[in-house]
Amino acid sequence: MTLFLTALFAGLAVGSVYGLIALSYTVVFNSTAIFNVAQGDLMMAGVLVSYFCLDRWHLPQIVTLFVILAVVVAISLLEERVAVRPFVSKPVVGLGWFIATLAFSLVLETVASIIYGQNPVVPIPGALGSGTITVDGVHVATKFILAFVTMIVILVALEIFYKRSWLGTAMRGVAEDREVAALRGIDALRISRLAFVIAGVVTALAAFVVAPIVSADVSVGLTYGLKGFIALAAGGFGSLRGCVIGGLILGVAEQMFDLYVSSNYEILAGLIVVLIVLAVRPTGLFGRTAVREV
Amino acid sequence: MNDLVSRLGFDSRAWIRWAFPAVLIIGLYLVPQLSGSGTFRLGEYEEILAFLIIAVALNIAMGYGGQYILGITAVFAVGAYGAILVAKYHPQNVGLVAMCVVGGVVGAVGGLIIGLPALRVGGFYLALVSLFAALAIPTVAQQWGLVGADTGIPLYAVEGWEAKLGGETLYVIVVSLVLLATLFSWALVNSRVGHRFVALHTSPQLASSIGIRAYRTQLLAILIASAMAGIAGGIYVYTQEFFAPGSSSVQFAVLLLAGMTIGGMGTITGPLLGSAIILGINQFFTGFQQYNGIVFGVLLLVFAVFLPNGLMARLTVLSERLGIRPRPPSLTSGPALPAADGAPPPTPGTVVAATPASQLPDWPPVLGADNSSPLVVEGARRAFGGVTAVDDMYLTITRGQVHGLIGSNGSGKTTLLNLISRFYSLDAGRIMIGDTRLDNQPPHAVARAGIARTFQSPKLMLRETALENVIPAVELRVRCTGAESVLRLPRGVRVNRQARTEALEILEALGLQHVIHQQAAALPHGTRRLVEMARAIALRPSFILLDEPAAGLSPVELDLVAEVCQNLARSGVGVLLIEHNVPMVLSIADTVTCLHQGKRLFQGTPAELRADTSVASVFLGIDEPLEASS
Amino acid sequence: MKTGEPLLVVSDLYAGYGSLKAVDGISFQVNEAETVALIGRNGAGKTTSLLSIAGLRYGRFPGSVQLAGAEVSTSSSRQIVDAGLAHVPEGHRIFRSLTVEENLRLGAYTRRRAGRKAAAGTMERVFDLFPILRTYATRNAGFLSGGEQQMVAIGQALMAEPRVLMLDEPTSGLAPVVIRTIYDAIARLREQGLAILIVEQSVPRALANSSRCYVMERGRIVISGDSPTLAQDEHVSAIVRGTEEVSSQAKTG
Repeated sequence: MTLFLTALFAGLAVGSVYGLIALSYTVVFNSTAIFNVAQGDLMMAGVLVSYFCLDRWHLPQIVTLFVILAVVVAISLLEERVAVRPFVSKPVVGLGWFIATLAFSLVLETVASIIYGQNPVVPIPGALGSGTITVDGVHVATKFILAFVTMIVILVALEIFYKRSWLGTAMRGVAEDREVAALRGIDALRISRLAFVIAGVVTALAAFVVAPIVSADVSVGLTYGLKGFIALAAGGFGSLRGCVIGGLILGVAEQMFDLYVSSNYEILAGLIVVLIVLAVRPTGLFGRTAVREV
Repeated sequence: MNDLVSRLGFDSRAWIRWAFPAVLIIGLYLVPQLSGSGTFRLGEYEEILAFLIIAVALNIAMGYGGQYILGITAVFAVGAYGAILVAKYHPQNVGLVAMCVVGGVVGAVGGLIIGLPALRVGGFYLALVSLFAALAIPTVAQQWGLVGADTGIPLYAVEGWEAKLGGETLYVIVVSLVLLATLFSWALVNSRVGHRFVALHTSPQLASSIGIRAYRTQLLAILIASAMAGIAGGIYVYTQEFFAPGSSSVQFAVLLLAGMTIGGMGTITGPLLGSAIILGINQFFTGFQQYNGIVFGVLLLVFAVFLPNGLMARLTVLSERLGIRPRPPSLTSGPALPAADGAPPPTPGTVVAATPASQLPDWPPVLGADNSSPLVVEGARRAFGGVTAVDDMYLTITRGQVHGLIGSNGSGKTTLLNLISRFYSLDAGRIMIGDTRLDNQPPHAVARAGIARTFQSPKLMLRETALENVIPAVELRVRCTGAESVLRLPRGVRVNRQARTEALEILEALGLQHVIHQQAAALPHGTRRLVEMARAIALRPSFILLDEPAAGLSPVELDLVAEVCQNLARSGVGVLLIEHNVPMVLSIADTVTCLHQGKRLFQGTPAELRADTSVASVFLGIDEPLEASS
Repeated sequence: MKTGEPLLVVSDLYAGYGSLKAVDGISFQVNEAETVALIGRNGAGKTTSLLSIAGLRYGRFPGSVQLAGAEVSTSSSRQIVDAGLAHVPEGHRIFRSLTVEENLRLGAYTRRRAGRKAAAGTMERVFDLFPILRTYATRNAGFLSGGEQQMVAIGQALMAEPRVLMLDEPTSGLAPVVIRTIYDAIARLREQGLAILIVEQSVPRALANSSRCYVMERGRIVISGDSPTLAQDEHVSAIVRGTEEVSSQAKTG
């Protein structure tokens, strides 16, 4: 039983990271109608920064957090300018945006491997220390709790933002009909930039909480990126809560697979989750079907 | 020579199109001579050649068929492992051919496993699942003892294994296999199978409207590409005599995609050119391999933003400008006309006034001709959110008559047409032809039952010529198997030619003989409408539904449309004509239905409509009866 | 209120793709406290003209658009809203996944600095104009009927407190009762001093609800004049219905 619970909590923690990535995707997609293929690599960049700050330069945690935020948001904005803006103003047709963001992720990965090398990043101490909380004889690492809590806080913050603020409402409008939004004076390009900033913040936080949990190397960006997508698919495109639930499902599924089947083939857990989702409920748990127009 | 050329189904443009790939392939044959290096380099070249075959495969599925199997390298890996395992356990009996066959079969199975579940839901999932598979398969292989885990399977070390082909002979064979793959892809693209791919890729609605079954077609594209990728796996392991998880990484999938983007998808040569460039750079500039990613990334980005159609498109334009390749013929006569609001912009320069044959031929129904009942709509209802677009609708389209459907914007005309052609489903009611219900069938079945339609905004395959746009519709009725068409077996050649001839006849009947070899993208709006109408007629349907065919047409073209409608009716086809041009409708319709806010306001003959002042006042807000055109 | 100064002055407006001009050099004006109608067949270029004036450009061409004296022909759509022009495109397009209130609030997006209270005040005025929207304030706009959605669209445009209002076929496909409501609202807006330009499909309706009228055909204005005068002119009706070709002004070649 304790093994199960330990795996469960670990799954919820890793799942929170997947959920955060999925949230980043959704924020960008809602305002630009594209998926940022480089999102996972942005997180990886944040993890690297975290490592440098904490392990090499021994900066305090809070300073590290701000450095990560600054770096990831800066790279996000660069990506928006270079790889996304040319496609946002045109109707979304074809693979252009995919190739462009993929190209950006390629460059990002290469730069990271030049700076850091190919070795795995050593896990670093978490913000709340390496302590554990013991509940009923089960040890739950505080870093797990931090990851989960962070995701919940971000979810709530995003929901409030979209529902209550001018900007959030405007972003929802732009997502639905850019032309009408433009006629009402809402600058769609500025909205896209803002979406990238927000997604950058969420991804930076994901990096901050994941760094102590798993070891990573510079090539892990795509893996996290794809798993974020699976979380999105499982939870339902377009739903913020879906991102979170989907992420948790994937995280827990992986840990359970590790425990009960085999830890070597953990990656298959993701494939199984996708196939089950496709078979049972293709729109995801919280997804809505769109109205088609001819 | 021209005779042979036209018998194989070319037109004179394609003749010169062959120059590019021919030069490229000849270059490939000569590479060992030119670079002068020894045998050891051949292995590296052969590796690239195997990858080129994957690029050709990906181009078929993605560039033409629109199926985004981004992770096709997973299929390649699976095929390769299959082939090398068979060779490992039966080293005496297995040669290149066997490995290719095994690779192809295993690859095809692998592709189906990835494709089947993803297709049920939509193309995006195919990209996701295949990419994930491309990631997962090397990771799994790293742990699996059967396939040698991290170190892989060194075939050269297996006792009893000896590659019977080697050196320059092997190299020439492999280049020939690339040539074969390219020829196959050309043959496929220009066959009925290829036409279905392009139609589906252009627009699922377009494809359904000419009876193409989306699911089957997508699956076929994936199957063919997977088999080819698997064969490439077989070739790879034969030439390299080795396979490990590292032989096929996600990076490699990215490189392939980069090659396709740079070369240009959707052409035969593009992927070859682009992939050769990318893979060549990757292989041979190993000094700065660390910085490869940055170089490729920047290159890819630049192409994606500035040259999205790749090098091939740019070279084509360039060669036209330099006069190496003849420009498509253009003919200017008649006034230049503005496009209808909201219509896609036509490219300037080629304007053709329709000069139809003096008498239109008969077009008696072929599809759905076994039934002689009219098409009946009973109690149809459809709402979108809070808006009821069509309510309590009763309508009959009689064979051999023109039925006009008029009403102001938003009155439900197009919704009704979409309901009949099954692009929308009914909330209530039925649509029948005789005893057969239509409203529970998918749109492609409705087309196959003999109901053709046009769209408010013409849907054409823009990269194809006018002729190539009409041929797929004919191919729905003039049948042979896909294999016969692709492989140019006797019946396939005959049917291909027959389809082409029939399409040509219809286009000529509509006066479009001058534009048959022009790209649809270059045609002005009015001509595109006529081409779309030709496509609908080419189905030889029993019923034809025309959605505002007159919008944006010149007076000459308008007259043609009116004549075509009447001719269709004379031939026994039931015509439903949705139009804003009330005088035109009144002059040719046998029955007129007037819709208002989704309900039927009036139904009767044109004479009755003209006399009914209440209709006029509600509909047009005027107090006098409607006038017909002189 | 008497007709006042020209608030919207368009001179030599062109719009189109490549060498094909959907709008081929039109000039007109709309004055304060005046309703002007723009009519013509489908495809004559009316919608493209309005979208172009509103800042959704189609290519760069000479010509000028002036709003209350300020030149806006190269301004962005955002700047044009700030300058006091609001355009309601055809098809009662609104944000269907948002509530009525959210839709209206977004209309005041450019004025959000003025604060929520100010926006609430403007919203009250929109509710006065279209009382039924008050009852649906928290309903998702996608569930309203076509006429109600159109009211939301118009209200949304009004939230920016424009001086010039353009409407593209605001009553197409709507019930006579709703058409009356909308035209009554438009009349009230005119009395409050707005300059209003309406594209209408129905010739009689256009002429009955405007003081001046322009007729477009093939990208050009071919007839213009007082609405009462044009109502007597049978050519107008015939042109719009397509039973008469406009001869000498048509472009050839």
